[in-house]
Amino acid sequence: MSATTYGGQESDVGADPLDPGHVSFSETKAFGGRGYDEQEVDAFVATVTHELDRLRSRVKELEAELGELKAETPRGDADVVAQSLSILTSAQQAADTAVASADEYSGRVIAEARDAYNDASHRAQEIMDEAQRTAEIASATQSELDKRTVYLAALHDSVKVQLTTTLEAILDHVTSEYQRATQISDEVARARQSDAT
Amino acid sequence: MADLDTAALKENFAAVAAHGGDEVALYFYSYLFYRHPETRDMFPPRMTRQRDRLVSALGHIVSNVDDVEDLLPFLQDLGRDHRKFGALAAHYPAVGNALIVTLRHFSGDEWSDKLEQDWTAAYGLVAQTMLAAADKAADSQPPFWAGEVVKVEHRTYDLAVVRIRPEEPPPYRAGQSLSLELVDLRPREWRWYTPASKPGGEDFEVHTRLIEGGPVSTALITRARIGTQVRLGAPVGRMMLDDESERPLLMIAGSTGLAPMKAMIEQLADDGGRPTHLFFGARTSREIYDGPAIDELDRANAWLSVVTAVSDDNRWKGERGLIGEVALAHGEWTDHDTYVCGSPAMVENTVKLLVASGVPEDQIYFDEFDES
Repeated sequence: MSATTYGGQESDVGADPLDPGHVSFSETKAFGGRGYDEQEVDAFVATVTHELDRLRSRVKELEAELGELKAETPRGDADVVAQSLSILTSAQQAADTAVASADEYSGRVIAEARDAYNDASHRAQEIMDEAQRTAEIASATQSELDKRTVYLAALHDSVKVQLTTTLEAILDHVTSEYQRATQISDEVARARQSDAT
Repeated sequence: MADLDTAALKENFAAVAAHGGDEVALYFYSYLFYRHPETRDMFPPRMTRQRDRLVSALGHIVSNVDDVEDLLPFLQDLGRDHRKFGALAAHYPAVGNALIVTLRHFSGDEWSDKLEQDWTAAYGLVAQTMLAAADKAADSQPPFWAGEVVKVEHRTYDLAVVRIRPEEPPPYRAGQSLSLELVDLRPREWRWYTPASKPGGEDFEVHTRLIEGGPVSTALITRARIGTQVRLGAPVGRMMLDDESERPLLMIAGSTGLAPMKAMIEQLADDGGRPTHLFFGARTSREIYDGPAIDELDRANAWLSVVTAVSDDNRWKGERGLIGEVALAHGEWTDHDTYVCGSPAMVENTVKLLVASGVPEDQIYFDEFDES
């Protein structure tokens, strides 16, 4: 906007041409010096009209801009919300996955430990069962041996008795035979002696 | 919920759920934590289980939206139970907002002002019911009971008997369960445990078996020490003695399912005793983890008879077989109050056998808690 001069007064470039502080009119020579100069007033009216038009179109521009901004603003907010939600959602999913895999790992370790424990206790049971069977067999063998020992001891005793009896009988027999032989021999000796004399 | 178009809500929920329950719940919690970061601390780091619970609770509410008889006690329980998480009245609108945003997000073009109004109104009723129940409970009960571990006995490498001493005793009845949180070891993870002691003592024992990948059981067995801090939630469960009944009792317990039976037997002993058969089953003889205590109960109470059976151990000289089958082979139980506790498979199998043998269903007591 160019500087506008009414009655020699200057309005600054860019200042509001409607600012009353900047508007003054020269007094007219007509009507005995009462009233404002008609030309200057006409010029002012023209300026006012122009300025009003300019402002009206500016208001329209701004309204349009505001409308656009208004339309845009919720979308912009919605974008922020959507973005935040998606960040929160993926963070939560990451946390879920991390905890789930930790739980799953701990579960697997426990399950393996439980299996190992059960295996070990089954094995221990089998070993105990086996040991018990072996012990039973051993004890059966032992009692068989014991029985045979008793039998042998009895056999031993009876054989000993039999042998003793037999030997004693033989000894008796031998003794009596020997006595008879001695008698016979004595008799023979005596007979020889009497033959010789 | 008279003014609501419940059919439209059901239809809309089904359409949303078709995107995959987990994905919908993931979006819901992400939005909730984004808008109300202070709520994040009320949940455990791993949210998988939480999302399942949200989806199944919402599913239950929506599918029973016309059945006030069912919905009312469900919501009241839910409201009371949420106190232990630190849920406050101020959190309810936050959750409602996140719910609406989530439904709108997954509804796409199907979303309408009418749906938004109806969902908002429906959620308002749900929140109001939950909060009213929570407020009522707040008159008589704290949100949780603080306590500490006073003894840990490892009976086998994977079975432990843990004694807990609460600052104030939670008002459970013998046979009921409490949710338990290991405050420092497993924050925000709550699991069900059943006191194996009658109520009224200064401490009580819980029996725990190491579950593969189960965060709380693992921590309780491998890391709990004297002084470990716990929180206990309000007692729940319908495993309890019927004081009006004069019927004899049959108790069938698999492994740590012994806990409620022990509590009830102690209670019965206090009340003068009722003829009771206890069948305790274990897989192997080493898993008879509480043998001396069972023997002692058997010895001290003339009205109690105990049978212990082992299912998977050929060195065991006593009764062999699955405990439910062993119990059924021992007699006719149609005139007994029967109690069943053990693994989900054991409970299901045993309850079936009891029903098939002619025991009336209202004389069969069991609780269903998911493991891990």
